[in-house]
Amino acid sequence: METISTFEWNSMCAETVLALSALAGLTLSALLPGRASKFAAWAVMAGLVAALVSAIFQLSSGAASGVFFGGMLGSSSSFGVFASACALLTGLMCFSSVSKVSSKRAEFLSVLSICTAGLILFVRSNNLMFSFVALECATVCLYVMAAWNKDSPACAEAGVKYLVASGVSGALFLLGTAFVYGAGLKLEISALRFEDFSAALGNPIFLAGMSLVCAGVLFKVAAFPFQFWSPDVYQGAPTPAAAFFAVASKAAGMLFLFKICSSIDFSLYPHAGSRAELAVSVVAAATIIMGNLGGITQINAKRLLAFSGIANAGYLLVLIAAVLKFPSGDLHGLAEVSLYFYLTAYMFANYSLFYVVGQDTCRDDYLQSLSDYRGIFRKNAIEESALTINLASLAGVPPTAGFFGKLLILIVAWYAQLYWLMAVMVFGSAVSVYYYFAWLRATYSEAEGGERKFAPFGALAPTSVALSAATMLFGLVLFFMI
Amino acid sequence: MDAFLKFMLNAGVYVPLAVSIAMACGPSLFSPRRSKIMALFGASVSFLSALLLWGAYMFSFSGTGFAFATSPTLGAAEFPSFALNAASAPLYALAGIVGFSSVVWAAISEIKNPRLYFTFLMFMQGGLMGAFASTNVLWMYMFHEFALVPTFIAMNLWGGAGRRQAAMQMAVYLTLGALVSLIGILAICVQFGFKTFEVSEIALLSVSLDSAWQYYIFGILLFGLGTLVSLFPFYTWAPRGYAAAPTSFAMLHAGVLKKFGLYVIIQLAIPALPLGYADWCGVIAALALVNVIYVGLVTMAQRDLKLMFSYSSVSHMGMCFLGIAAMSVAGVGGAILLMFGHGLSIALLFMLSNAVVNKTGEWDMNKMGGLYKSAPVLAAFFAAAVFASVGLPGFANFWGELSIFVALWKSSPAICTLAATGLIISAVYGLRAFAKVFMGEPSKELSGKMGGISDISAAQKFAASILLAALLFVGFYPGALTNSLDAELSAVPSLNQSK
Repeated sequence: METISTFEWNSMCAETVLALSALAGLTLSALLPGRASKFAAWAVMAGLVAALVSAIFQLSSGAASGVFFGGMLGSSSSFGVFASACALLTGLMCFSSVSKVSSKRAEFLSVLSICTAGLILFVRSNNLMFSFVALECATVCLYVMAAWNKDSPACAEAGVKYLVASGVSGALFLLGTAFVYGAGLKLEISALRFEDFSAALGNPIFLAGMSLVCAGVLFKVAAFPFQFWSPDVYQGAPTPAAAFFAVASKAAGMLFLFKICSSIDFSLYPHAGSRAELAVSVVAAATIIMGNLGGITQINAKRLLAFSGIANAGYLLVLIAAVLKFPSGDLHGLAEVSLYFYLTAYMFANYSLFYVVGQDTCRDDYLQSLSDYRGIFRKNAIEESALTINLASLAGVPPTAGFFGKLLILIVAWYAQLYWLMAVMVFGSAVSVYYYFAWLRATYSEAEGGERKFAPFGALAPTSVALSAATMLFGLVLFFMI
Repeated sequence: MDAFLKFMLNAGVYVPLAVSIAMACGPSLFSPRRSKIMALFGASVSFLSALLLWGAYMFSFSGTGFAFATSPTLGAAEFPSFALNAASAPLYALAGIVGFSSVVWAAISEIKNPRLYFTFLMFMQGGLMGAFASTNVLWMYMFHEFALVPTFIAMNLWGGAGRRQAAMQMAVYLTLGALVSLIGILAICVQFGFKTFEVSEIALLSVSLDSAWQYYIFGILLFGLGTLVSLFPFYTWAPRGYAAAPTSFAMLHAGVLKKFGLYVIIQLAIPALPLGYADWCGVIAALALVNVIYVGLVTMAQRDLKLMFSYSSVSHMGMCFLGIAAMSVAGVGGAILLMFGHGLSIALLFMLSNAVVNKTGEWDMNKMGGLYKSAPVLAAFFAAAVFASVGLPGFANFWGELSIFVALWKSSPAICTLAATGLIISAVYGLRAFAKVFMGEPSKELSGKMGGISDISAAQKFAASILLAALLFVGFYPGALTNSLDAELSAVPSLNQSK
């Protein structure tokens, strides 16, 4: 029995640091008087840096390998580093001169920290009940972040929409968990634990429960048929929050699905395996098609990024379908590497683009359209190159990281013999060129833009340049240097 | 000497890329004048590298396989491995020659925002040199894709009428074609167990693949690469795209980039998938005939000078595919000769039509005429370019078309006869264009302006002469390409048959 003194706190140091920095931020911002309260935000930022460092330490030292909390919490994965990096990038975005969350910045950052800790625990969990608690912890923070600007109607709309969509997804998840638990009682195993899933595969109630759990997570990653909330929420939410939705929350859902699907051994019930693979493949294909066809008609930059996010969720689901088809062996390792690579490339590109989107000087940035970007190439070289490089990466043009991500997914799909999914993916990517390049075309247009102006990056310029450089070099370095 | 040549092979690729990156990173450092000088520097390094390596390959290297193989490393970083063989050396030379000439042409033209223009042009140039120098299939593909974004942006910023739609259409088609061919390339690599990405080694593994796989993979490659080469039915992006693209980009795209699809078929698909190649030959011939005859007829109906040459380039690509469909050393060798000749002649034609359009202010050939009197040198260059593109003796294209027809006759006289009508069609539209623009009396639209029209300048003559000289050189000395091509292609089992 673990007690507070025997528990290995090393194993949770990143999460603990995040929680403590959130507490520190909230306390300081309440206690510090007037002008000094801005230090509270810096304290949380320091906490986010510390969390990133400790997540890297956890990963490299192996301090958090094994199981904890009576088996409910698994080893830490690279997602700790990924999520902390996302939180740090989101935090930096809040310090932009035109940031929409500059009031109550410390509080926003505190909520962000708790959300990050929740997402990390969600991906580490080894037990459905624990997953649910971690997920809800993160989700409640996401509601708050989506609705941060009280005086903006779009923001309130985003908050309510996310609340309703997430409420449904949480309910589905919980109902599924209950079904799984019930099936476990019947089979006299504790079916909530991931390692016992394989034994329960023959039970129809268990299968229904797992389908509901997966549907709940598909809501989070904005996959078909649960994708409808995401354009409205991305558009209305403050841009830093939208970036976090687009990257960290989507990545957490994907990694959770991947973990569940790869931990189940279908060898005793091949029929269930092939059903699951078919279902995921169909969802992946529909998501790719929905995202890309929806993207074509978008003229709003933030909505466009939402549809791009839907399409990218579809590409990532191809990896999960591949793992379900060939659960063991080399393919699993390759698929996991591809998943992380793709997510990282996606993170660089999306944060870069959201940084530019967030530089809109108008009070609300939810109405900005692609035509507002006209002529930006004559005014701001850093924003111009960030748009060019990162849109190319999302469209999958070599030598950017996005190309290598798609390359890896195509290789995994070929190994898994998912030929028709590859065809859908290629079709989707070609369609996506249309809307990514429409944004690029606006950037390089001789015509003048609309009312909206884009402020120069100022202190954020080095971060933006670093993100673009990462997009440019990440794939090349990983493929040709290591 | 060998070390120097290897160094030049790397320099020809990396110097233009470095120039492009420098110009992209330091917007304030590069005044219009300085950007022109930097671009001319980058292009002349490529040009020198192209001439040196082609010359060295021509005169010193005999036998088959890759020469000047170099794969530089810097610490743990592996740079792409470069080398040239008989198929890639002429195309590498073509990229250097057309690139230099297009940069010279751009440097003496009036361009808004020259820094950006040359940034994109140099990026494309470096990518093209790399695409033909690489021996690693993944790098070949990646270097080819370097051109996608620069062309798209350049068309939107400096393009002609209808550029917005044409640029988007081109980007979507080319991405689709490139992704489909990427799947084909990956399929080859995966089926061979990912042992290697090197072109020469992949070809050796071909025996291990059964015929059904070869059939499917060759089909994927044919349609993917065919789209890049504007093979029927996926050719519609090309004519409007070239007509709307700024001149230098149109020259590089139609002259050099478009040859990439054919090049990969010859370099990778034919040696690696001999059975698939044999199965698809009939389809290639049928589609190529549509390109030659149907698109040829469409070309005849064009009145817009630039659009007409854009269609003609689509039609000529059909001729190259017919060479491949002949399944023999002469056919494939002829395809490479024609690719080389066509690349030079179409670049020259785009360049000269740009001059004609600038001088007359008209696109429509029916509204021109009599330009010969005020611009005799332009007319002479134009005539030479038209003769080359029609395939008259003395120009590189002649040898290409000749050997394609000889090879076709051996494999199928019927196809050869049908294809020969393409020659007549191309003679009709080529010569008619020349007559309409330069001969006769000036049209009523032009007669007022005639006094103000001068001949092309010395610098413009220089840019055009580079291309013409290369055309004539190979026209009078086809051995520059054929000596090594014969040996190289005879070593490919599927081409070396008794017929």
